[in-house]
Amino acid sequence: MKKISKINFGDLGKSFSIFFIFIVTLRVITNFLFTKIIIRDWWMLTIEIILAAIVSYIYYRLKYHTTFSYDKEGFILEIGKEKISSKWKDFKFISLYYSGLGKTSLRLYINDTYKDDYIEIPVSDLGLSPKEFREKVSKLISI
Amino acid sequence: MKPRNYKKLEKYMKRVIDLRNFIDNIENQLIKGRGKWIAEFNESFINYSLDNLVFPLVVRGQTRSKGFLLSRLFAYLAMPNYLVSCFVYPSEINSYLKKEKLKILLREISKMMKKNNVKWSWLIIPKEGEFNQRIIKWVEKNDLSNIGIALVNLNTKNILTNNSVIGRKIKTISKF
Repeated sequence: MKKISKINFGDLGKSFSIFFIFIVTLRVITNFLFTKIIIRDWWMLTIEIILAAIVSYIYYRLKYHTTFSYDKEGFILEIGKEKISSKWKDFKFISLYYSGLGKTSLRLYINDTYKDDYIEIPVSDLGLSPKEFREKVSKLISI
Repeated sequence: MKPRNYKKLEKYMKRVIDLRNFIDNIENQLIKGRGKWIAEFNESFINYSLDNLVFPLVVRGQTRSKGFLLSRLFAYLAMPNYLVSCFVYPSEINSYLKKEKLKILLREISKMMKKNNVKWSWLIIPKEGEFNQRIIKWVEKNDLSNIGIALVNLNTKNILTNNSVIGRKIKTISKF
């Protein structure tokens, strides 16, 4: 099986920002509550950055990180902890869906394109060329 | 030595490539937001089958754009949320598109629209060369209010649309 996996720096940066702001705010509040002064030291900031980086990376791996493995028969899609596996022959229609902000995904529809029974492969998160990948998948579906 | 039909084949291949480029161009234009004054297209299908017909390209979207904060709020309050779709069906190379075929295409599109609650659709028919006069007259007279039809001559870049508001909008959603 061919495996594709790429770190999405957009999602990683997003989770880092959230955790960094959260850790700093928490530290400032507890600091102020217990000592009535706010400590501003470089070593404190360094620790916060390291801590935010570790926590956000773990969060990113559990929530966003995408791994896609496929062969002629089927595929396995892992997004964070979620895992979906399916056969190419189960799908009838494929489409490229552009959700904005440069995010493109390949939708695989089981039967009706106006119903929500589809699987979405985040092509841009995997660093693939959307049209080339669509071409490849459409060949696999028609086999 | 070149085969006897080499020139014919070369001509045929050029037409196929031109059509392919045209379809790619339409898909890129619609996805990049060329038609955003009418609708936001965000999903494209290739080789989309509708009953016995296979459309090389179908792009769909909705009239309510997503946008960011203010534009999203404006779209939510002011715009109706209609589903729209754009079908591309090239006229077969070296043959004339018949009126009956066009009627079948429109019937299938109408059926699909009714079934899935799609409000507006466009049917774009590109061709290398002139269209049949009977077809041109029929399209010009056609006043379907929810389907726009466009006959595109790829050689002269001439676009002929049906006589409805939706039909005339084709020129604004795509530039050939």
